[in-house]
Amino acid sequence: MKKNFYLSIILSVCMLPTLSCSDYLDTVPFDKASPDTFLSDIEQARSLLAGIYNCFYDDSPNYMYPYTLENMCDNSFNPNTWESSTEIGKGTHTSTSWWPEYKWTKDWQAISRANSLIRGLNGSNNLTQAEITAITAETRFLRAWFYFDLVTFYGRVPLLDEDSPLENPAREEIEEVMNFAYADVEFAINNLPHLTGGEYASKGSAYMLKMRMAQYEYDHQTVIDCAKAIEELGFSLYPDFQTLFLEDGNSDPSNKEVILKINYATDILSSNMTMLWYHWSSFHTTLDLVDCFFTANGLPIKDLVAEDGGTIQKDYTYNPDRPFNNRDPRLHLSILCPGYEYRLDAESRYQEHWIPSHLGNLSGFRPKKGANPYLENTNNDGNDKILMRYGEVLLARAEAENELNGPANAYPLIDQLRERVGMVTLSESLPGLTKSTMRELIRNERRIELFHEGQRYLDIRRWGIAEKVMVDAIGLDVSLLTVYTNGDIQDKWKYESMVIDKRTFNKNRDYLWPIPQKEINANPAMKGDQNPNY
Amino acid sequence: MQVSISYRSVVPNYIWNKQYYTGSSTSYIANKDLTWETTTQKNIGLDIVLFKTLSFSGDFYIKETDNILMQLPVSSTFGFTEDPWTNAGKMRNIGYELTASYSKEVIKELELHGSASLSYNKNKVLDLKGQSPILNNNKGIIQMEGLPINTLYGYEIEGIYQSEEEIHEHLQTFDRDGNPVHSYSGLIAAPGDIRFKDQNGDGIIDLDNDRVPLGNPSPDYLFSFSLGGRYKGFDVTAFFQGVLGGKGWSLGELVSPFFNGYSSAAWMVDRWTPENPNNTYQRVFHDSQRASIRSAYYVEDLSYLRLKNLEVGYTVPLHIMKKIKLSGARIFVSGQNLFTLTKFKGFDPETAGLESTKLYDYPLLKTFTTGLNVTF
Repeated sequence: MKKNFYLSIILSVCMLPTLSCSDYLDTVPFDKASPDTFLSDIEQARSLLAGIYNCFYDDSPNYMYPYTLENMCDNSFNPNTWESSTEIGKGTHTSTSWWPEYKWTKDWQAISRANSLIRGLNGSNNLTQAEITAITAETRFLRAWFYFDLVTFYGRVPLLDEDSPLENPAREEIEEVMNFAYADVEFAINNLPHLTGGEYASKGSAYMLKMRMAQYEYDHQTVIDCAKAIEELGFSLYPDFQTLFLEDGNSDPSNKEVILKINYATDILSSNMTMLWYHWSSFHTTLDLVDCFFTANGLPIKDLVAEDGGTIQKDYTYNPDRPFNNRDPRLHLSILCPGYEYRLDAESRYQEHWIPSHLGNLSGFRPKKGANPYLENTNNDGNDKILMRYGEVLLARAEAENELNGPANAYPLIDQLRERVGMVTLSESLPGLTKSTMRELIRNERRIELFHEGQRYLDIRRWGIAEKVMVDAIGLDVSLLTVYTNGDIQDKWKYESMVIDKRTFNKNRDYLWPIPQKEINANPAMKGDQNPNY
Repeated sequence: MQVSISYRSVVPNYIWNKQYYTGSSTSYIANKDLTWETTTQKNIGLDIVLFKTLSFSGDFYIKETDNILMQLPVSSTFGFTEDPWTNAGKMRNIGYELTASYSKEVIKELELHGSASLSYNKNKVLDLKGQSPILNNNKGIIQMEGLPINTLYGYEIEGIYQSEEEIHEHLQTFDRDGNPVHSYSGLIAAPGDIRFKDQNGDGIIDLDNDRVPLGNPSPDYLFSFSLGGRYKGFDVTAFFQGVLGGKGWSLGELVSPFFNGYSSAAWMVDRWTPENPNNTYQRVFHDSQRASIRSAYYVEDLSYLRLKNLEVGYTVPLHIMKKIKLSGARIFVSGQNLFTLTKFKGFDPETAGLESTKLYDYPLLKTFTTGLNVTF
């Protein structure tokens, strides 16, 4: 008994010190810093800037941004429902759908990172004024980019700047957000240097963002002014349309077409572009899109009817039995058609005459633009994703010129795009276009020139034609294309169309994405303020 | 509040000039007011032994946990990479644990033994510091004062829609201009779809107004019992365990037709079709959003009773041991997880939880072992 008594005394004595040191276990984390002291030099400012650019990257390669937008519009169909673009193409998405939540989160991450960098720079005594201005200009460009992205997808969104308190924000009017973004873009234009290559945000990319914002607001004069400014900076078309989209092209120092791109690098970070559409079956290009490519004579293969009834007559020499011969050169540079050569060295695939059904394709076509058939390893693809290029500037300028001043000034702009690929010019092939038919032509030209660059989704909304074009997707019946002999139509090689995806489009709802349900639940200021009909 | 910048495990780098440039960004807010959870527990218990053969112990407890640490979702406009931790609230667990065991030599060389245990727990969220209710749509759960923690939350069901007319009568299907209304939780209903209960009677099934609590993922009762005996050299023991109560969500491959292109569950054979109308199984569809609408249709009961272990052995008698100069030998055959009684449709109710039918989780295996113990 005595032993137990002493033992318990000893134990309780030992316990006393631990009871009094209740904060002994509190430690300070070694990997965190306070923003007030963090910005001590230009290197750390650039590090925070890299953190904003980082928001351009997909969290996972199979998010495929911006190419996944092709599957959400009339250019393409993706049967892989787990990639979350199918439901938006079909019109069966809801406020709990994946993409609206992912984009919302990503865009706001970028904006909040930009705001905190600007706040840190404003209070900093450790950098020179010139350094502060330079970093601020790049940051404000990025902030404007992401705000514009939010507006085009969601409509009214909250507006937070570097001085906003951390409180639940309500949605702001679109005009307020656009004015704010315009101010950011103007600062960027005035303070960013002119660079080519698109590696960093530059004066040219700021002008182009302003151009896109003006285009969204149908401010045609501003579009023209920005396009002229970009031309005066010295941007021009890259002569080789195919190489432009490959690593050799966008790393070429003489490339003056790329204005902004997302940077990747072999052996460091792969963009997986070749894998995403030339290896995986995530993009089934529609027949509707392929039919938009004109014949080599510069005429459509089906009558192109404008809104006022004016028509661009089809090419009567078009041979539907050899449908892909003698077409606009961009067709075969952008899309793989049945019977044409398919090569993917990384997977040891080679078909001299591609049979779509062999590789699970459902529409008869797959995108080829930006895919490198000679790549050794599709998981190690250093090709960069082009976000802005001069070709788009010409198209935007042509669209604005036509709306404001009629077709005359649009002709030389479209001709430049045609000359680049060796296609007959517009001036030569269709000289007598009216404003209405030129509008139709420009929309068609934009669709084929910018195919598979993520633009069409927003274009059909800007033009207000989404409900007309988001009908059931049409492709070729691949079960009729199983044996290629010499390209002639025969028993096992016929071009028949069929519906490959049933789609619906609610014009009172689907022009915008829903505010994600997660936001509505977490943010009481947005309760009851969801986009209509969601 | 202090904002902390950190190099997180997913470092926000960017590539410039074909090189990685180390990036940094604000990750989330540091909560200076964060403190430890505190638990206060009161118990009362009883241990008794009767007649040297039967022993019994019971324990009744009331346990209150305050300052529960939870990650609460905040507005995405704050740009955090993960939800911040807060001391979110208070909950109470009340329950009891009973065990009993019995062991007796009934007649010479025959001994019987048995034991049983039962525990019961009831959980209730008491206080959420003004944040009640907290919804987690991705997991289909709600934290609300007065309900157990992580209560399942979704629509109640009333059978299957048999016809377009039934849908038109139940829900708003077209607006004044004749445009279709997405009144079925953001989608448009079709015959063969599950009919959800419209709680507020406004003709629209929506997340804000028509969801109700659907069940508690924690089982009410956990129990186990074992029986065994020994006669001469043979011994037998069987051990059973089980739970009662507890609900989880069935998701993904098991309930969504052709989910991600996989084969569907066997009961889809009885699905609703116009030729085979029924009120139990919904129709086959291809859009993934439909099967992720959380409702009572997808709630699984996780109760089960399982024969966890059965062992039969024989100890070689001493007089034979002496002859072969060993001090002891016993051979046995045993089996684990031999049979299970359950209504659960997934692989294994024991390893299931809130997301109960994840088909990528390996279920527990039924195993048979046989062995020989030898002592020298």
